[in-house]
Amino acid sequence: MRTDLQKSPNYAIPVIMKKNIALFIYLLIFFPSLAQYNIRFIVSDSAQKNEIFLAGNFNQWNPGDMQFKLNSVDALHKSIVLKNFSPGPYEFKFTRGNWATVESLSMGLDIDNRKVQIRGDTTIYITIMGWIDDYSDISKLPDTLRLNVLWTRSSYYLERNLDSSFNYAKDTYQLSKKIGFRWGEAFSLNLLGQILQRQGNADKALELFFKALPTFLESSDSFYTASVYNNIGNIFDYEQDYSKAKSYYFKAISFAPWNNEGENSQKSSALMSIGRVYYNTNKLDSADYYARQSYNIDIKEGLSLGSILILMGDIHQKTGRYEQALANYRQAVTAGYIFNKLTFVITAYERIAQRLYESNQTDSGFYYARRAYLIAKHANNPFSIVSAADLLVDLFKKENRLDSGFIYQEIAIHTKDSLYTQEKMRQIQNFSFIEQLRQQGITAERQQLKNSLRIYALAAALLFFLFIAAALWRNNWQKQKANLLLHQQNKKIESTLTELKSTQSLLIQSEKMASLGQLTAGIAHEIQNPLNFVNNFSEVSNELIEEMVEEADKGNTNEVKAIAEDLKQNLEKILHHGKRADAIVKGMLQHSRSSSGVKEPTDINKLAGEYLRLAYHGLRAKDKSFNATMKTDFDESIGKINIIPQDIGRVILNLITNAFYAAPLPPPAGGGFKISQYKHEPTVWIKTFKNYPAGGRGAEVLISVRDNGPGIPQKILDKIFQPFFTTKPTGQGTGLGLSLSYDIIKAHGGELKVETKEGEFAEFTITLPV
Amino acid sequence: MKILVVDDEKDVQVLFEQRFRKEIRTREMEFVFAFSGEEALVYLNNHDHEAVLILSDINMPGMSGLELLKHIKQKHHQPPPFVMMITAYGDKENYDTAMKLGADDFLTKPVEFTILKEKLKAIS
Repeated sequence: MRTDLQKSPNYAIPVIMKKNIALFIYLLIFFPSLAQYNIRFIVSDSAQKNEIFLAGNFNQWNPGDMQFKLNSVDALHKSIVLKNFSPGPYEFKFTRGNWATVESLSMGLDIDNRKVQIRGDTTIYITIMGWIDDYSDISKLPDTLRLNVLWTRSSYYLERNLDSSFNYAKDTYQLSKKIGFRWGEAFSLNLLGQILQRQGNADKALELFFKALPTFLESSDSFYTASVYNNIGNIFDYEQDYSKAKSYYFKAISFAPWNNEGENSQKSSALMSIGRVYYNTNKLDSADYYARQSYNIDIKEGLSLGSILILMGDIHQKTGRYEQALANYRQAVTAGYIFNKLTFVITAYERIAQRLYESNQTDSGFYYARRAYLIAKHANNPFSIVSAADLLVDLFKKENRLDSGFIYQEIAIHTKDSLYTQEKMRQIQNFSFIEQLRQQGITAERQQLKNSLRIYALAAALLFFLFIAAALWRNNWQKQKANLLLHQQNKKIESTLTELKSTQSLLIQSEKMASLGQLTAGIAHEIQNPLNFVNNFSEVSNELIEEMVEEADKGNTNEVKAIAEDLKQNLEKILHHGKRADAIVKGMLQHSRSSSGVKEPTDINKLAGEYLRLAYHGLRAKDKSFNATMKTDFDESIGKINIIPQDIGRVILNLITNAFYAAPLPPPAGGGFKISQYKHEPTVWIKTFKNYPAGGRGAEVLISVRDNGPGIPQKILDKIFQPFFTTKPTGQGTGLGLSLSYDIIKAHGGELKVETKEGEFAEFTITLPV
Repeated sequence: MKILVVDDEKDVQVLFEQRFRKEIRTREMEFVFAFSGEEALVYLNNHDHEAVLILSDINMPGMSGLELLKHIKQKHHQPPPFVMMITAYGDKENYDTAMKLGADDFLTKPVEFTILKEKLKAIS
């Protein structure tokens, strides 16, 4: 009998019908004969589930269709081949088991819809990373991620298992509360309200919705504000207070976001609900108008599509257009399967069953009623079970088959009973939590009262400043809009920040490598001297030993002793110069290494002297014509000071390199070395000085590096410590040297200052506290 | 022959004394050491005409070897002594400057002592 379902063209929902018609016309024009292709799906499922089914627009999205069960290829892979497919777009998803074959809790669990365009024989490889019910231990996830999983699950189970949904919503609420995430609290209250409503606890549901509302309103979250209004409307609807219900639905519409990209489901849901209200109050024209409105909006997203189509079917049914009613119900079944709204599927099957039974197709009527019952049973939805069982009882009664009907009567009564006891149990279990929520609600209300008093006072005051306030309000409104945007962009910025941070550390490293480059040549020269000594002393020692042997042969003991003394001295020299080379290499490694950040007592004069030599030889090696006089003036009274030597070394090196660069430069046009007879001798001075500033703040050490170059123009003086600012030609300087130097000195609690006179000198002074 | 060695590396003294120990012992050569350009000038002023040959490093803190060379060749000492420059930077620029200032010979580090010895013997 299921073939009936597959044959009927009405089962495809209209959007697919439209696509298919367009495709059909397209094919009719361009292909004289329709090509037929094979599609092969190969699924790699790391969770290794036993039964995986393919569902799609080619089998009315029927989950668990035995014809579309995947065959095992090996332990990890399953596959299925679909034959004779026309070219075109197809949509599909994979489901685990189905409503009739798999344990109730995981019923029909699936992975996302996918699209594929068929233009020829096609093989599609799919890797399934995990199934929605397969998240194992989420307790170890970070809070925000865990929150996400919790509310996704709670929403998911809302349609499937109210107990699970309740537990997840409760966890969402508690975790949000713990991390102070008010939006999450409101979100879970909205969910809990829907659960309580479905469990028949309308009063408490209403309470929770009103508790969730202010947060969404304050945060200008139009989607969830509309959602809460829709849910409140649903409660009044259920209580048959239609005018109140309608007013809340209209509120939902006024808040619901509207755009072409989607997210219009709150609006379409509200419109559909209004249509349902008109239907219930027997205003069929208005009902039809709102149903069509919501249909036009929802057709892109489909979240309410099932219920809209059922409403449309009901309207047709009431006006006697039975064929159209039946078509709508069948479309509702398909929509329900596609969008995972099984309650719609069950209701639609019930309506189909009634319709077919009433048009004397008794067998078909029973078939669909049973089908509705089976799905309800496996969806573990007691309300649906009762309604489907009641329908079956009704049908059997009409057929006078009371004995057959008796079974379902029993089931219905039993389910109602257990629903009642379950309800009691649940109420006891949930009581404390819901009570807790209510208590919090009461304190929140008190707080709200206080707040509103304060707001009235403020409002009175604000009257005086009405005009200003209006302007501010407008400003604020725009800010709120901007805030929303900011909130969305926040994550993007965060990731950019991380990227920037890593780029920054790369740049700092490359600046280090650049200064290492400056040093390398100097170091090569510095190593050359000790190596020469090592080689020379070794060679000469060899000669001395030969001589010593000769003298020993002659029996000249004194001479032998003298030579031995020399040899000893030579070995000491070799050791000394070996160590010297070693120290230079170690210093070089230290320079390139990321700073160890450890302060140690350091002889600042020695450090400055070393880097002066290194910088000089480095430049000398790079540019043969380079020459400059170095003058040092070290204050020997300083002793050792506590600094991070490689960091301060880098600063000194940077200042000296800059000075050597600037010293020989030509004077600025029109200014400069004014006395024409004066012959410019590029000179760099380095001076250390221990100072005891007034105020008794303790001693400080000053290190100044001065050059007699053209000086620094006043207009760029305030820019030289900025990152990436350089006066050197492109490619020669990173522009980070002085900026990093400044940071290093700051980190030492010191100061880096510059003094300059155009055409005469520039002098950088480091001041370090001792 | 008295030879003045100018280098800021003090161990040069021990090295030369050992390398030329036979020549020193036979009084064929006599070495005097100065550890900066300034020191060398002081020595030359005090011991006029004593040093016939000057071996000078170029890269030294303070007065460089080239400045020393200029002083010796232009301002002091008639006849000017034989000056041999020794440097780690054997580039053309350095060589040309030294030659222009009147250097008599030019060696690059590391110094081959056998070659230096031959050169010194040829001069004396």
